[in-house]
Amino acid sequence: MSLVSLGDMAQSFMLRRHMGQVKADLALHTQEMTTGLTTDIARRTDGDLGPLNAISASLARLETLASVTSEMQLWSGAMQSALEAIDNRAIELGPQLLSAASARQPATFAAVSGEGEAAFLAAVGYLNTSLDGRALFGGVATDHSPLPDSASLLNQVAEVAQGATSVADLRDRLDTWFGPGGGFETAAWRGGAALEPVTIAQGETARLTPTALSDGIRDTLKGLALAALAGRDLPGPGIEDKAAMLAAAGDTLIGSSGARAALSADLGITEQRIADAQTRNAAEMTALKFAESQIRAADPFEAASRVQEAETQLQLIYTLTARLSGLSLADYLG
Amino acid sequence: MSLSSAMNATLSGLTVSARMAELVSSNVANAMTPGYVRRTAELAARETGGQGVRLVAILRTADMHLLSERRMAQAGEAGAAARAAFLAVAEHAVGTADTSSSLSARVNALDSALLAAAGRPDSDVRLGAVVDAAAALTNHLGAASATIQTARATADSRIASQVGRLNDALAQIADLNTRIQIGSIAGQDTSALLDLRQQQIDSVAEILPIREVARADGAVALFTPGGASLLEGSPSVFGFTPHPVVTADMTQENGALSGLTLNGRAIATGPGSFIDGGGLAAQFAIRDESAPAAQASLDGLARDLIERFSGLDDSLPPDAPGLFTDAQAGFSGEETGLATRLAVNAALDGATWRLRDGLGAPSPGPAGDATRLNALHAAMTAALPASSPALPSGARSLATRVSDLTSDAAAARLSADSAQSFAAARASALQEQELAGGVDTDQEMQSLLTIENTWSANARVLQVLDDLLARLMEI
Repeated sequence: MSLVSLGDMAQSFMLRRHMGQVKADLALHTQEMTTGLTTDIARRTDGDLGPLNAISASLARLETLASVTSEMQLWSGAMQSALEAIDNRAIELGPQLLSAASARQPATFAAVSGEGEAAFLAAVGYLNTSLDGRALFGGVATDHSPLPDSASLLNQVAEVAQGATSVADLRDRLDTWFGPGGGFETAAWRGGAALEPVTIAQGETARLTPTALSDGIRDTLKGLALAALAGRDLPGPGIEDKAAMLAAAGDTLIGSSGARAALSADLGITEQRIADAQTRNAAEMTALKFAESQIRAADPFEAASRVQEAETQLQLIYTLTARLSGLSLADYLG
Repeated sequence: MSLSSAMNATLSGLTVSARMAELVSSNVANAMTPGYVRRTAELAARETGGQGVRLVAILRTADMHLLSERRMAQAGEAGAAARAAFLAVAEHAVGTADTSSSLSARVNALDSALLAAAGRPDSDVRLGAVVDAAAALTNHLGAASATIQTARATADSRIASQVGRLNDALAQIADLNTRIQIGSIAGQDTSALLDLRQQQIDSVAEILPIREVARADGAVALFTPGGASLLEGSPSVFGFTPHPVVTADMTQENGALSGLTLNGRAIATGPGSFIDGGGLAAQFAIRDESAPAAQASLDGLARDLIERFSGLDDSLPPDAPGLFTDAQAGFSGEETGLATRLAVNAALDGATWRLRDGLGAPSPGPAGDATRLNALHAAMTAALPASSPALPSGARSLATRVSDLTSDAAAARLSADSAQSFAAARASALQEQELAGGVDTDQEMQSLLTIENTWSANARVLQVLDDLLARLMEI
């Protein structure tokens, strides 16, 4: 039966089916060509989205790390310049104090003591610096300055020194006050515990350790305070006492330079690590974006040739439809 | 009298030619009618009452084997299409990796927000971003499980409408059976009724796979390959009660959703049951298997979220919920529907600093403390085993868990897609074959030419006989 006849509907059904298929293909490949992305990512990856998900997760994280590290860089830079400023003042003042102590000129005493006081006030000011609303040297207490304002801190130190009978006694008192567990920590310090490490790259952390409680800072403040107190006639107004005080101040400042340098160096290493991490993160991001586009991108040449193919096929179907509909015996029967 | 018997024979030729022309015209008129089967005439020489031709019967040239195969394929296609459509919905609900609104993008956003907040714990904006990202994650899970439950409710209502259509069609087929039997006993042409019955059977072929068995006097009996009798004399009646609202805890097992009855007796609806293989079984599979499985993985993920982030906070009692809660409490032990109950801890409402200082903290602590934020981030990235049986048991980080989930959904959709395109290709190939056996107007025109010739020849014979008779009269 089917050998001698072919139902009319079979032909139109077949043509319709092919036309639908080719049109769907055409739409798909046109979309791929215009967006440059594959339309069905699951089909492209055979349903294994693990690698693509991992890449997206890494990219999202690297973007955040880029902003986190640039912030860290800002803060560590500000801390570094504060430390430098304090160090410069101390290095300048140390020899001046020693030479003034040996010169024994009361006029010079007053001048260098005044210098010392100014330097103390400036140093405390630097330690109380905040950047973008964040206190830098207070550990986790970032919302307020770690030390009282500079004048009242100096007054606190003066109160401790009040009533000291000799230079040695005064030095002892200040050593205790600035030492571990002393008044500087318990009364003056308002900061918190050390900062937590911050993630700067995949599996790598950095932490900004310097605080107003770091060793180099304490000794520097102590030295500057000694010079300032000499100007306030403590422990006494005698030339000998003043000379001894200034000599002690100079010694302390010069002696603490190593600790200050170490503090700066540590911070410098952290800064370097942050910069390295930034570079590596950027490189990783480029590599991951490339890998992502390898997975997601549709080959434009392939898409274009598929579009062409579908176009040709559709034109053929149209031609056939027109020709076949003209082929009817009824048209030839006169 | 041989002249008059010759005239009789010629007359029979003319009548049969006219009947055949009628068949051709009916065939041509119905060339585009779906379900119309081409009619042909069966002719034979007259045995009694002299010479001549007679129309023995009008034949419907249906290929029963092809018809039955096509119906099976149609049922299979309907089932595969329903399954693929649901799996595409389920895949879309979790989202694929390349969209910014996918579940994995939500997890990445939470990861980034935690990292940024740990870099600057004093920033309320960043803490707020963490809470927002966590809320977006819970909302996504809630929305995904709502989508899945809606798909179950849709499947439930489709079952109801399919059962309704099936019952109506079976009753009509039974009625047509009776009319065909009466017609064929009376010796009438029942072709039109047969066409109508075939159309009725076709209309439910995609609901159930149907086997047609011929019975006496043109009647048919209908069965499913699974063995259910749909029509044997009297029609079977299916029973089903729809439920407009479906929630995760409602199942056929616990009686909250309706099963299927056949003539008042409950029947199984799963794989290998009486009704297996068509659209109806696929809707049952969606409602009772695929959708609950998809819901179970979402619930498992919700449980993983709750457990991952609890027990981290020293400001809370050990059993208190962490960042994510089961309706503001610890995990209740009831996993079903957990994805809809998942919520961010209310302690964070208007007090995002509790992320930094502990969920149980009465007042803000040191503004730069990143300990708890780091712990939260570590909990996200730590590879932990899942306690839910619905998730793969190996240790995974949160991002990998979600990635597994999306990959599973994508792979399931892909395999359903290829099953569907196979079933569709088979069904359309069979349909094409069936249509090839349908009306061919060229063939009809050709037979019309033959009919025309035959009729003219008969008329010519009649004219000659008339001449002969006239000659006789002239004598």
